[in-house]
Amino acid sequence: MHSSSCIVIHPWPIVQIGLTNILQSLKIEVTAAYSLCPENKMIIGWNDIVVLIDTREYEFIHKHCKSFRRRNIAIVGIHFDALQTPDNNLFDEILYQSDTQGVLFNKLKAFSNFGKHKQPSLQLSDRETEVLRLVATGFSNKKISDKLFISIHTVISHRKHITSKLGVKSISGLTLYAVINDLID
Amino acid sequence: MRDPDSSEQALIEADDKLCEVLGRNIDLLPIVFRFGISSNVGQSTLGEICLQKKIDLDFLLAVLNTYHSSNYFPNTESVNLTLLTDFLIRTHQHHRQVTIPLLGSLMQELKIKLPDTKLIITLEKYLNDYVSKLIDHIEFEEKYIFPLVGILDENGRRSDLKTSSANLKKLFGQHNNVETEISDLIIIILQHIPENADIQIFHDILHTLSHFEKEQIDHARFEDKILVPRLLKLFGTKFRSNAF
Repeated sequence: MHSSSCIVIHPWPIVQIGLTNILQSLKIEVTAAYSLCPENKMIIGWNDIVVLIDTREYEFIHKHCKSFRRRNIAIVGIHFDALQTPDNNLFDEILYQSDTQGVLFNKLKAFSNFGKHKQPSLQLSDRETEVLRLVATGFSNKKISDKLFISIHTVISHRKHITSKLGVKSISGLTLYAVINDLID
Repeated sequence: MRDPDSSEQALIEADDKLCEVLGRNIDLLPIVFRFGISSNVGQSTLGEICLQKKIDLDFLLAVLNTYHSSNYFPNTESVNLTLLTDFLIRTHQHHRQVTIPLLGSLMQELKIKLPDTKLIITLEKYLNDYVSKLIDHIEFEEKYIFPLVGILDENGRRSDLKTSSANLKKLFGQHNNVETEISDLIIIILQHIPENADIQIFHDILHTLSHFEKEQIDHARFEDKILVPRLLKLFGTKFRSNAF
């Protein structure tokens, strides 16, 4: 049984076929291969997957990288351009033309269980969940501090972590998230 | 792939044909309509259209370029405030008459297609609350902010100076909330699209929301960076840009 899924975006069939073979040998399912970057409506349903993409597709990567992070999508760059240096901040891993077979296997193997378990960093801790519940119920920082016997500074720290993990900033947005996820009625 | 915000995008100029401008960035079509220009004059240049329709060319170029590229911003002092408030009011009308009803109808369609009633009811309530706050914000601007331009044009009458200045400052906080809440809605929808859902309807909603969000940001740029500072300056209020 395959343990994780990925999508390959590269204009060269030889790269698509080669990577697909390596990934399948690592039990990573290739669900699609594209020569051109897919349209927005094609990528809406992507979640918890690995995207292997030509690093020259800079506009596509730059445009979607924030959204991909939010949706637990790993971005692996395929870099064959010796004259350019890829932006490491945009990629979870980069495959180079000079990589040996062993290096290539090791880099890709790291993604063999990707997306099967939600990343711990995206999950709220019990305390953060409690703070979110109270924020969504309309409690001020002071009231949350009194109710949970923690300092206001700690409440603010929890709120920053919640916003960072969920990508949601406004109280209305946090309330919406809490209702949808059954944290409050 | 096209990116309207790319720094390589050339500025829109008087000699550009309307059809070429719209070909470069079709998202400018509703903006062009707000100037009373219909697309059937597409073969004419912007300069020719402005001459024929008695539209202020500099103002049209300032608006189109602001919406076309986030790197561009017009000379704050040269923008005609009366023309700007007229344009902002027409933008409000577009929100009321086009965008908000469109979002409402997309939500109704989603209601039919999505079996998860809790998700759809919650999203619908959020959107309704958001629209209600947005309408309040629009009415606040039209009642308390935009008329200030007329007052100043008359001969700089400075009645209710304190109240007017307070209202101008209040506007900034409202903009921040309006933009954040729509951005949050997009993120939450992205995180909760059910498996096997009709992707097309979600695409339509997200596309409309995303476009709406961009419009709100550009609209707020005109108000926060041009209209309000100019009004505060004209009112003689000690204005510190870092206060906002």
